Order: sequence, then C-alpha cells, then structure tokens
Amino acid sequence: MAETQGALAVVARLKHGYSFSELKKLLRAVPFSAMSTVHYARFVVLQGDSDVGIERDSLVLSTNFDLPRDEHLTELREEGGAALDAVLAFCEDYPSRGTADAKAFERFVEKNAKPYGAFHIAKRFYSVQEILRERDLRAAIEQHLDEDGPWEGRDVHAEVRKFVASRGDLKWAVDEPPPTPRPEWLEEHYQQEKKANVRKWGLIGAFVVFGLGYLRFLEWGDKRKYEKKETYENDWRRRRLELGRRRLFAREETHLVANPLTDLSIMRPGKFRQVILGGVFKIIDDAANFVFYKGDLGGIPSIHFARWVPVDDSKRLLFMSNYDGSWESYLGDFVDQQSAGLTAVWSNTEDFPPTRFLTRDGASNEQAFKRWARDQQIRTDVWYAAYPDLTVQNVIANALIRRGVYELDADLVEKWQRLL
Amino acid sequence: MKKSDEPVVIDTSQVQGVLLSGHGKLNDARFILLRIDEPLAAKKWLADVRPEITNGHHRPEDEAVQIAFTYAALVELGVPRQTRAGFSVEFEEGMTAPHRSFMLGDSRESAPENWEWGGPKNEPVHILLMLYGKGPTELEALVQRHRKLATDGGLSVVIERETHTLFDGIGYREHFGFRDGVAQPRMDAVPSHELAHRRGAMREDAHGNTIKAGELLLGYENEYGHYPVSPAAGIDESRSLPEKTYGRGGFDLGKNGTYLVYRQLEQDVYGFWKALHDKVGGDSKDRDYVAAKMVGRWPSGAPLVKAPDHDTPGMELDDSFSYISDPKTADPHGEKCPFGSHIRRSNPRDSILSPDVDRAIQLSKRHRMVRRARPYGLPVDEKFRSEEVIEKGSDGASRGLNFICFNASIARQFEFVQHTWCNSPKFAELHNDPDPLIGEQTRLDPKGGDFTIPGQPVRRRVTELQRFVTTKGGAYFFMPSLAAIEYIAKVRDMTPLQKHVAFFDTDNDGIISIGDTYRGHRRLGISQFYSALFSMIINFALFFQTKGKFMQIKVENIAMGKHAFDTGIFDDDGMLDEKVFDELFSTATGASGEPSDEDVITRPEMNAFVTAGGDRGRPNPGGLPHWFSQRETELIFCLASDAKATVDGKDEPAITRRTLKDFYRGDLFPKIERLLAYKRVGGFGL
Repeated sequence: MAETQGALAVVARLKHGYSFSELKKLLRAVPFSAMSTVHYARFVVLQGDSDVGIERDSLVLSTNFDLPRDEHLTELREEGGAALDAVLAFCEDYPSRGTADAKAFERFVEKNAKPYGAFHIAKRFYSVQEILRERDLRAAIEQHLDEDGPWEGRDVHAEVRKFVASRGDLKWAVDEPPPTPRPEWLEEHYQQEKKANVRKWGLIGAFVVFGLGYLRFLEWGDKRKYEKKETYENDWRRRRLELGRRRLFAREETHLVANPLTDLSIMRPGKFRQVILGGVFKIIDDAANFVFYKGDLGGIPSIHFARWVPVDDSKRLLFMSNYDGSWESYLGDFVDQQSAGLTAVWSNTEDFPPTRFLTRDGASNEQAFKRWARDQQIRTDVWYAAYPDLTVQNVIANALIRRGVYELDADLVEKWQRLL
Repeated sequence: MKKSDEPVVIDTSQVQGVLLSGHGKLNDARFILLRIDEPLAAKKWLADVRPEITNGHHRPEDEAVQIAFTYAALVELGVPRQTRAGFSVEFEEGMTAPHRSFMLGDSRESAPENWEWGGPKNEPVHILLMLYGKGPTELEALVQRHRKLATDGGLSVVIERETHTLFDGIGYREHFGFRDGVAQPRMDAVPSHELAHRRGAMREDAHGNTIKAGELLLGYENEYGHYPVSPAAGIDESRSLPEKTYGRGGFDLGKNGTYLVYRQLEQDVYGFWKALHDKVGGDSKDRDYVAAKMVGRWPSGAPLVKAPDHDTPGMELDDSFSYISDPKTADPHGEKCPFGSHIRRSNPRDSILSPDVDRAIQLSKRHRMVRRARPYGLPVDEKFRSEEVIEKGSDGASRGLNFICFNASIARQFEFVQHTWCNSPKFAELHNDPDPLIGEQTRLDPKGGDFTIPGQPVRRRVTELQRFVTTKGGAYFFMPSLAAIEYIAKVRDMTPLQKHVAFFDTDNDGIISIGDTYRGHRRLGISQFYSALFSMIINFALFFQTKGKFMQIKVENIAMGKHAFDTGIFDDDGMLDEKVFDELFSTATGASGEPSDEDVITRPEMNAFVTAGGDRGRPNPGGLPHWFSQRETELIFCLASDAKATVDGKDEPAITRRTLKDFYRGDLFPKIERLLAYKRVGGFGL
C-alpha cells in the first residue's frame, strides 16, 4: 500500500514593502474548512534576518493533506479561490490571473514548494473524511452503550454490530471494509521495508563514525561560543524579551486538544553541518516511516504531523508540528523520550545547548533546551485543524472500533471491548 | 562526580519547616495575606520576624511561623532586577495571566475576576504569613501578635484565611469525605540533623516514591541530573547567602528555598454528592462506589488497587502500591482503579506514561510535588457520611481546601499535573474525561465531562459531570530559605557606583572580569580596539582596590575603588549627594544662580570639576592617576556629549547637568545602550 498522506510547504518571497497588517487580515479568510483533503494547515510569515544575509520576508503556506497531491492542489485552487489569490498576490511572481489560471497557479506552487527534510505521520491510511465519520460512529456506539445498559452477560460485540447495521447513517461501517490495513499486515510490510533500508543506514552510519572526530572538534568550538553567549542568560534584558514572547505564543497555545508549533532556527555555517543534517534527516525520516508507523514517534504518542523543512537556501531550518496537549508536555516529551534524535537535528543550528557526539547532552539538558526552544519559536499566524477535538490516540482507537464493527477475530473481542 | 553512596545532605536549619512536615500536630492555622505599604518599614519588620520563622530542624510542638513572597513583593522590597531575572517565568507572570488561567482551568465561576483574593480585581498580595497553633486560643494569641507586628511594620492585611485539619483519629480528610495528603514523595536526601544516625544514601523504596531533592528545593540536583535555575545575588549585604556552586556565580538566593503554590479551592459538598446520587439513580451503595472509583481510594483511604470492591479497614494510610509491577495490585486495564480517577491521573506511578514500568516511574518522578493542603470551614457531617450530606441539603456555608504545594519548577510540576493530567479530557487515551474531582469538566464538551469505569464485558460511563470545586483565590509564592529571608530584609537598591559597574556585570555574579568590561564597552558602541584598551586599564586599576582576583573587579567592594574621578560627591552610603554635585558643577562652570538641568559643562571645566574634589574628596594626587582621570573625562565626552558650548568662538562638545547627573546616579550607561539598541547605530566615533 502506498503512502496516503503528504505535506506541502509553499515558501514564497513577499513583495518589497508589503503591509503585514493587511496581509494578516486576509490570511484568516482562506477557507481551509471547505477543503475535504486538509488535515492541518497554517500560514506563517518568515521574517528576514540580515545577520545571515536574508533580507526579505517570506510567506509559508503549509498543509498536511490526503494524497493524491494533484487532487489536493486542485482543491486548494478551487476552494481557495479569490481568498487565496488575495493572500498570494502579496508574493513575488504570483500569476496575475491567480487560481483562475490552473497551469500558472500550479507552476507557482511547484516552483516555491520546499521539500521536507524529515516527515512524521502519526495516522497514515486515515483520511480526513474517514476520521470524521469514525468519530461519529464511536460517539453513537458509546451513547447506545450508555442507554442500553447494563451489559453483564450480554454479547456486546454482536449487539453493537446489530445496532450499527440498524442505523441508516452508520450502516457503512458494516458494509464497507475499512481502508486501514489490518495490523498484522502493517507489521509484515514494515519489517520488509526496514530490511531493505538497513544497508543504506549502514552506509550513513559508517560516514557518521568517520566524521565524528571532526564533529567533536566543531562541537568543542560551539560549546565555547555558547558559553560566551550564555553570559547573558540571567540577564533581565533577555528575561523581558522572553516574557513578551511567552505571552505572544501562549495565546496560540490555548487550543483545547491539538496545538501548532513553528520553530525557525539559523543553520550553523559550513558544508559539513549540511551533510550531517542530511544524513540525520534520512535516518529520522526512515525511522518515522518504517519503525514508528503505529502512531507514536519514538515514544511520543501525541504528534499528528511534524516535519523539518530547510528554507532560504538551507540557511534556516523550519520545524512545523501539530501536537496534542501543552507546550510544556510536548517539550517535556522531547526531553524525556527523544532528546537524542532532536539533538542530532537541532545541534546543527545556532545557539543550541552544547552537545557531545551529535546526540548526547543538548536536548537532554531540560532547562536550557526549553529556553532555546522558546527562543526559536515564531508566530503561527493562521492555524487550521480539521478535527480539533481528537488526539492521535483517539483517531487510532476510533479506527480500531470501526474495524471491529466490520470484522473481529474471536480472540480480539475482549481487547475490542476495552476500546469502548 | 559525587559517589553514589554519599548522601545528599539538606541543611534543615535553612529550610522552612513546613516543607519537611505539614505541622499536623498544630491543628489550627491562619494564612495571612499581606500587602506591603512601606517597603523600608517592611524590611525592618522582616528582620524582626525572621528569628521566629520555623526551620526544619525540629518539629514544633506549640506554634510555627512560615513566610513566602510573591514576585511583586520582591520588587517592592528592592531585590535588584538582575537578581529577580533568575526566578522562573511562571512565578514572575503569576497565576492569573490569561493563558495560565486556561491551563489551570480557572474559567467561568473559577475565573480570576471572581476571586476573593489574588485576582486582578483584588488588592495586590505580597506576602503569605502562615501561622500555626496547637489550639484555637494559642493560635489567636499568635495571630494577634503578628497582625500587630505587621500593621506596625508598614504592611496591611489583605485577607486572613482560617484553616484547620479534619483529623479523624487516623489521619486527615477533606470535605468530600476522602482521605487526603497520603501520597507524598520522599526526598533522596538526609536532613542534616539526622546525619549522625544515618549511614549511606537514602534507599530507594519499592514503589518509586523517592525523588531527588532538586525536585522540591532549589540548590540541589533534580531528576534530570541538573540544578534548577536559581536566582543569584551579586551583592549580599547580609552576608548570609551561600556562594553559588553551579551555573553562573554569585550568591545563591534560591538554595534551600522553593516555590509555593497556593490555591483556595471551594468545595460544594452537597452539590457533589447530590449530583452523583441522581446520576446513579438514587442507589446509595452504588453512589459511594462510583465516588470511590472517581477518587481511586475509599473514603477511609484504602486504595482501590488493594480493595477494589468495598472499603476495607486497616489500609487507611496505605501508599505502598503500584499499578503494574506488583502482581498483587496489578491493574493494567484500570478495572480496579480507573485511569481517569483522581489519584491515578495525578500520580500514575508505574503506569500509563510508558509501557516499560521502570521508565514510567522515572517519568512520573519528574512531576511530583509535596502537598501541605489544609481545609477550611466546618464539615457538613463530622463522620463524613454521604447519606447525611444529601439528607441535610445545601447549607450554603463556605468550605473547601487551602491547596498548598511545593515544587522547584511550577511549570513542570504543579502546572503540568493540573493541565496535562488533571484538566486534560484526553489523559490516558480517554476521550472526554477530565479529572472527576478537580478537573474543568466543560473543557471539551459544554454539557460536561465523562467518567469511564473500565470493566467486563464493557465499560461503565457516568456522563455530563459538572465541577463542584471552584477556585476562589490563589497566587504563586517563593518560599525562601532562612538565609534568603535575611538577604531580603537587608537588600538595598544598588548605590550609583554599584549600578554603574553592574551595567558591566551582565551575568550578575558580582564579579566583573576583563571580558565583562570589554563586552560592556562594546554594548556602548565603542570600537574593539578601544574597548580592549579601556577594559585592561580599568580592570588593572580596580582589581586590587576592590580585593578581587587578578584583573577581576568585585562589584560589592566598588566603593573601595573610589578614585579621583568620584570627586567626593558620594555620601558614606554611596548615594549621590545632589547638593555637593550642584555646588561643584556651578563652581567648575562658573555658573551662577539657580542650577538648571540645561546648564552645560565643557571638557576643561569637567577636568576642574573632577580635580576640585568636593567636601570629602581627596586632593588631586597628580601623576599617573591624574592622567587616567583625564582619559576618563574624554571617554565620557565621547559617549555622552549632548550639547555644544561656544568657547573662544569655537564650538566645543559639552555635557548638560542632567546627563552628568545621570552618569553619577549610575543610570547613564543603560540609557545609552537603550538608545543604541533603538537606533541601531554603530558607535560614537571611538
């Protein structure tokens, strides 16, 4: 089974002297909710940074969507329409007829679309429409269970199946086979994929070992630089900035279930760092694809979609993620569960806490890492979620409930009943 | 690296007693919230009260006094901002910042706008004074004495919270009738007064209940193996703070102190039981069963994993259980103690956080806190019988819990548990189940939250739950060590000289290295060459005078480094004597009449000003020091010249009286830096 979800990041340079306040008003008008293929979407304005030679601001349009890509682009164009035109007209080289000219629009998108470095999908095979109707299915079953109790001594599975079949709006669950593959199939499929990739990882590993000596030398230098800058750490000037940033982001992070995170970091100079990061991305992307296909990413069960996208000729690194819960818990998970992988990526960016051998220290230094992460964060100007009331784990449980309604092995009945 | 068998020792004579024991024997207590009206008098009061503060060395038998400060109090009392920057952000922002209210679930009737104290519409709260007494009369005497001391000491009472314990012969209860405060983490540290009887480190207990001292106290290693960020004082007038041994230097203001979270939680006891009664269709046995499932313990305290079906005597204070690893209490599916129950979600122990038991314990240890809550108001029924509560009906009386907990990181401990575990309707893969006791029920669904009791063949669900616990007040406090109290009582705003040099001491460790001086000059827009030159000269000239190490200036002793340039216009306390300043200024410039801010001084006049010496100044020694002071004059003119004067028909740079005064007050350099940052211009020509 092929991949089922994709990511789009259009990073287009904004016209000289554009008005941010004007743009911001228009951003909100883009009707993502009318697009049936969109899981999550966001607009972010990347400010220029003359220190690293990026003079101009850019606009990022990012979506996580159901494949095929063509259909998503068509929908983006058709549903986005005039509202999307009004926004993208702020960008350079946007075709004058906008979405009305399909060819030119697609050319614009493809020209500015930036590939991701590494991409994590928690719920592959789950399309937006399936997620939404499985949510309704579960709610109806739960309500039936509440109203029709007590259930001692009854065959819950058979009765639930009968109930679903009797409801015209839910009958599809009994009739249509679920689009998600059976869990055993997944296991087998990814075992094979994993084997096929082992050789590639071996090559990357050899390179990493080879480069470690040089890397250690770089890290030593970076540590000294960091410590010099850290002099300002307990500084009230920095504190005032930090407070301001916290207030700003806190307003974005008051969504009930899922929240967006957008980080923009400056890459450390040198080709070597770029090569290292390329290798790390390859490993993480493969791991996300072939190891962590069950919903979690290295023990973090709360990430819907996350990806790194190098922007501005790889001078900067953009991280966009949709996670469940609070910033504090998400970052806590980073530190507790995945500090090595994150250190391997972000240690290639400026001001990251000191590291050893690419993966050690760094993000495991809780307080320093959290402070760094806040420093990197930028505003998510517009954020859209198709199912803002569902966590990753909810979506997966709902799909398993549905699968159980369609077909259920006898030995799994107890397990299925616990999902309810 | 410390050897593992070497115990971590906590100096109990420094830690405030309530952190180590809840003063349970002292049944009555009063929490007095104070506002500072006159900071100077308040500091005197603090110095007077300090000897009465109870430390952790003995368990008090008759009375106890504890004290804690809000961030605003530290501002009022003059703790310098460089030092305050070392406190945590959440402490500085306070409990009522809008995004914090969202996290904590303080919405609707719990919104800070409706609070009795601590909210935006209430008087500001600065100091929490906790007074404990053996009985009501003893407490009353203590309260009266302290109330008088405080009101005479430049403070006024914002509100007084009466508290007591609900002791039932075995332990403590809360108003809904359940055992409270059983599960408390232990510190893997030895109290200093017990050191003599103990050998080796504290042993880990079977259920992962022992956590690192740095989770509860600043100044010790935490569960991550790091030290919690702790505020540092560059100057310690009281000479009581220990030196900071980790991170950036200075004196450790945080060590042996911790953050205190105080929330007044009003409980609608009748509402809680009546709603549950109606939900289960009036079956009183089932009602008590569901309530126990919601809590995770029976009213007596018996944990559900040990007594799943009915309340069992003899386990009242039992906290030695786990959810997965112990086969006798194993409950992987929550069929004994539901995942959504209050005790399982606020301390998941070895479950939920990770499929691996040891990992789960390791993770849960990063979110523990010590609770020292005390109820207020009279119980509806002395024996805490739910049927009595329902029978009596609502009495409209105010009762609830003064929730108090201690943690080294408010964000990672208290707020995390409240938001990510208790308020979250999605905890443990649930769908719409906030904490049935304290959670914000309407978070996801305006109709209310659910409570799921796992079971066979299928779960049982209680739906559309409402919240019967309302937040009525609250604030974040810092509970300092006894040494830190002494520091706060003596802290002064910095003298102009100290301010002047503190500009260079960005890391606030009280020492200005040659690098600090260099970077300070660079921040003023001076070129690399001159910055290097000046920093070498300045550090060389001052390091031995301030008794610092080679080429390091000690900010504290800067007054010893008075040189010719000071011209004797500082009084003995190091404050600017404006009269002397004006006299000198007028003499040097030959101006007559009333001093005006717009008067200007030129470079030769400035040299005269410097050499005049003033009342207490030393005569101009001539020679090298004189040459230095002339160079300094040039520097000041380069940096701060803000006027022109006509001398012999030529325009000469000059400085106004206002700017020069700023310089002598120590405010000039920060002003220049702000100006530079604002304009983003590249220097003043040097």
